[in-house]
Amino acid sequence: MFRNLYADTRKIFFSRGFSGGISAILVYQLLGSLLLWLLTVLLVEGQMASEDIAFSFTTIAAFVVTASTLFVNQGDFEDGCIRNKLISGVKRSDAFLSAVISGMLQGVLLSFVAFVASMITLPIFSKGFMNYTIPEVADYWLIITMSCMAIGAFSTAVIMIFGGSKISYVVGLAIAFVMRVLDTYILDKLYPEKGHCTLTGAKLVLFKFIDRFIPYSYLSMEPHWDTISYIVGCGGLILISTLVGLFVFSKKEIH
Amino acid sequence: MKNIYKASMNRILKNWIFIGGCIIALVATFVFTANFIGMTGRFETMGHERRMIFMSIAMMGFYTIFVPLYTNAEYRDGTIRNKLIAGFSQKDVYLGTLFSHITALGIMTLCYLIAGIAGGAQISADMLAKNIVLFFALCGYVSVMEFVAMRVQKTVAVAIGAFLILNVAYYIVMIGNFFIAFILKGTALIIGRIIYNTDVFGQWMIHVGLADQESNPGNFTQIIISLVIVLLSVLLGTLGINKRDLN
Repeated sequence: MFRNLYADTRKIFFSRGFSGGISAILVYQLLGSLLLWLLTVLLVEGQMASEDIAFSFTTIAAFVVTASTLFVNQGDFEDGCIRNKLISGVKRSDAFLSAVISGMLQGVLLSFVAFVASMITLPIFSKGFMNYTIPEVADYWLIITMSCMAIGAFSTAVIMIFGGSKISYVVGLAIAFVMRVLDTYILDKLYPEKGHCTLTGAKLVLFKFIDRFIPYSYLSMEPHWDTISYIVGCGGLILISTLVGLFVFSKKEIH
Repeated sequence: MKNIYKASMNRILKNWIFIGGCIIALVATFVFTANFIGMTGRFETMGHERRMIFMSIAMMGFYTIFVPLYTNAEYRDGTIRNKLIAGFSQKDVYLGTLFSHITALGIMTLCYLIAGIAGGAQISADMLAKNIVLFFALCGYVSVMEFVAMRVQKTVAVAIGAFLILNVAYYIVMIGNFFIAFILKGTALIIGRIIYNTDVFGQWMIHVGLADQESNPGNFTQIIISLVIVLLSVLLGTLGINKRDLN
C-alpha cells in the first residue's frame, strides 16, 4: 500500500496536469489582481482592499483541482497502469485509496500555491484588509484548503469509478460547473441583495443543506457557518466518495 | 468532404447520446415551457416564450460534452487515420465533421422548437427571430468546440479545454452584466457589448430578458458576430492542418 502510495504521490510532481494547474493559479492570481487594480485605480479612482484579490482562487478552485486530478489519474486507465498495478499484486482497495489520497494531496498543494500567490500579490496591488481580521483570513484559507482536499478526493473517486469509459473525462468537470452555477442561484435565494429570504419548507432545507454541507458551496462565499459544519461537509464528501468508490472499484472490470 | 459529412451524419443519427439528447430536448422543453412542474416567481412570470428560450441553453451544455468526445473518439479509434488512408485530407475531415455537428444541432433545435410550441409558445416573428439568433450563436459555439476537438489530440486535454471555454463563457456574462450596466461608457461600452455577444450565454441572457438592454446590439449584429466566430474557428482550425502528423 505504501509503496503504491509513494508512487502515486511522486507521480503528481512529474505530471503536466499538476504543473499546468500551478501555472494557471499563478497566472490567474497575477493577471486578475493587475486587471482589478487597473480598473480600480483608473476607472473608479480609488484604492483596492486586499479582500478583493486575496481569495480570487475560489473562483477557479473547483475547476483547477478537478482538471488536475483528471489529468493525473485518467492517464492511468489510458496507459494501462491500473491494470498493471493489479497484475503486479496491488490490491484493488490499495490502488483506489492510494489514488484518492494523492487526489486529496493535489487539492491541498494547489490550495497552498494559491495562498502563497495571494500573499505575494496582496502588498503589491492592495492597501490592506478592510473587513477581515488576520484570524478570519486564516480561517477562510483553511476552509478553502479543506474544500480543495474534499473536491480532489471526490474528483479522483469519480475518475476511478468511471475510469476507462468516455464519461470519466467529463463527469467531474460537469459537476464542478453545474455546482458553480447552482450555487450562484442558491446563494441569491438564501441571501438576496435586497429584502429577506422568502424560501420555506423543503426548498429552504435543501438550499441550506447545500450551502452548509457541500464543499463546492464553500468556494462561492466567505465563511458564514460554524467550523463543525465545514469539517462535517468536507469530511462527509471524502468519506462518501471513498466508501462508494471502494465498493464500485472492487467490482469493476478493468480493461 | 461530402462523403465524410454523410458518413458522420449516419453515425450521429445512430448515436445513443445524440438520440437521448434529442429526446431530453423534446421532453424537458415541453415540460418547462408548459410549466407542468408548477414553478412560481420569476419562471412563472416569464411566460411560455421566454421559458422556452430559457431551456435552449441546455444545448450549450450538451454540445460541450458531445462535440469533443464524439470527435475525439475518432482519433482514439483510429477512424481519422483510416479516413486519411482512404484519401481524404484532414481539412475534408474537419469540415465534413463540423457541418455534420451543425446539422445535428439543427435537428436538436427542431426538436426543441416543436416541443416549445406544443408546450404553449406562440409562433411570432419575434419568437422565431430570437431562436434563429440563438441557433447561429450555438453554431459559433459548436465550431469553437470542433476547433478544440480536432486540433487537440489528447482526449483529457480536449475535455479540460472544452470545459474551460464553458467556464470562461459563464464568467464573461457574470462580469459583463456588471460592467455594461455600471462601468462602461462610449467606445468601451461598444467593445464590451461585442465581447459580451461573442458568448452564447450573453446572447441567451439578452433574449431571455435577464440582461441589461444596453448589452443588446440587435439581432442582425448578433448573427454577424456568430458568423465571424464560425469563420475564425474554421480558419484557425484548418490552418496548416493538412501538414499535421497524427499520433
